[in-house]
Amino acid sequence: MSLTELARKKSPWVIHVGTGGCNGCDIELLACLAPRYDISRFGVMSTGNPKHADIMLVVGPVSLKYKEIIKNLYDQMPDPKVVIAVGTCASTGGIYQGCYGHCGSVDKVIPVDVYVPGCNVRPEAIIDGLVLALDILNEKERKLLSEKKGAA
Amino acid sequence: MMAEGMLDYLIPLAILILSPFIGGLLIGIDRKVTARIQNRAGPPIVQPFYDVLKLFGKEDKVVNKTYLVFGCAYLFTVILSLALLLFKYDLLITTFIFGLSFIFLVLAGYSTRSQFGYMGATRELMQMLTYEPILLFAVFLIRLVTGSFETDAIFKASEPLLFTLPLALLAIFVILPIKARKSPFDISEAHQEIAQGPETEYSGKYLGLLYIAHFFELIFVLWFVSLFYVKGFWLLPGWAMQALLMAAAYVFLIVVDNLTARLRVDQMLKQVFIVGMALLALNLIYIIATGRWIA
Ligand code: SF4
Repeated sequence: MSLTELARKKSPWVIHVGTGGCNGCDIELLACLAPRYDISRFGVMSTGNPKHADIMLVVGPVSLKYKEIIKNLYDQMPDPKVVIAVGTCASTGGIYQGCYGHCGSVDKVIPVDVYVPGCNVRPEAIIDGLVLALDILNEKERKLLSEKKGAA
Repeated sequence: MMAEGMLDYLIPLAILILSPFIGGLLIGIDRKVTARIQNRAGPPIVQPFYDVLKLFGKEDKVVNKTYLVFGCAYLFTVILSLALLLFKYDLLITTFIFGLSFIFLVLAGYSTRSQFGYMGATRELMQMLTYEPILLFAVFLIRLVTGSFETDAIFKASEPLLFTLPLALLAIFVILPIKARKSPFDISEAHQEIAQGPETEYSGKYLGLLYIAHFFELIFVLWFVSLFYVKGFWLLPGWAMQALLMAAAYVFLIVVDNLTARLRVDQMLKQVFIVGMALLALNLIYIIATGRWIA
């Protein structure tokens, strides 16, 4: 593992996007940042800025109004980037399935790498999902680099 | 004699080369201590280096070329001002160049043409308006008691500055959080509010460069404070007193950062300006009354 890959594993910056769920999962997510579960000990920093973020945590089903916004946010994140769907709503649509105002799960709008189901999710599960995402981050970068080499 | 002359250049050079590492470690320690105060485990001490390394491994999305130029100019002027300070150049020029680095950051914020960048740059400008007069006034007071703008004169003065300019040091402590971008005056960064102000549009390695500039900046600020005690005291040599003063300023920064919430721009402008200027004016009266000034 090169130094950059180690650093990438040690400092994931996350952006937290709430797309119109019931707020249950949001609170669990914030519990992760609070002293009890403190994910900042893994180097996680919560930023409000997609241009600085590596990981996008999406909570809730995507409402129709939010579709454009979340696409925009995703496009602004620099590579390598990972999307984690937090909660049943974000993974499958959950209790909002078939609602007129929603387009269901997040993967209908942007590609999702890690699903963390549960209504509402436990903070431990979110942390597990984050750790899983860190490996994917490095894998993605390797793939991008090999693609670049292939194109050149 | 020759060796001594060499040391005069080698030691500042070594400090200059080491300062990003020291600055990064200091910021890491700050994050750890802050976390411990809040009863969290906190990131490891080398976390800032992980962050910078990671940023260098990321794709950079470039909005336009201008803001990259200003970002690099910011980094170079910060390094230049630190070098001038370490090599004991003219104190006035050093402070001006340090001010120039802020100007470059402001221009970088304006040239991104994003709302957050604009807002951050404007706030940065207001912060400059607040701290620059106080800093310059303090430099003029130093000139009054040492007789020269050269940093060397501070080392040659009969008494350490702390004895002649105690209130000026206090005024510099008041503006310290502004220069270190810490609460209560982290108004331009404010990442909960305006997504890090002038740095909003930076990503990838250019953001990494800005981070490195912040490391240098922290060392500059602490070194400037440490100039107030460069003489030995009792058994301790001069550099130990300097290090002690730097440590005191650093602890002060961490404590204040954790005790206070962010102020508004106008509150900062009023409070800091009035308090700082009053302190400096009192100090001016003191040195004139006791006849310590050298024309
Ligand atoms: S998964 Fe459950 S708790 Fe989470 S946002 Fe959806 S409905 Fe709320």
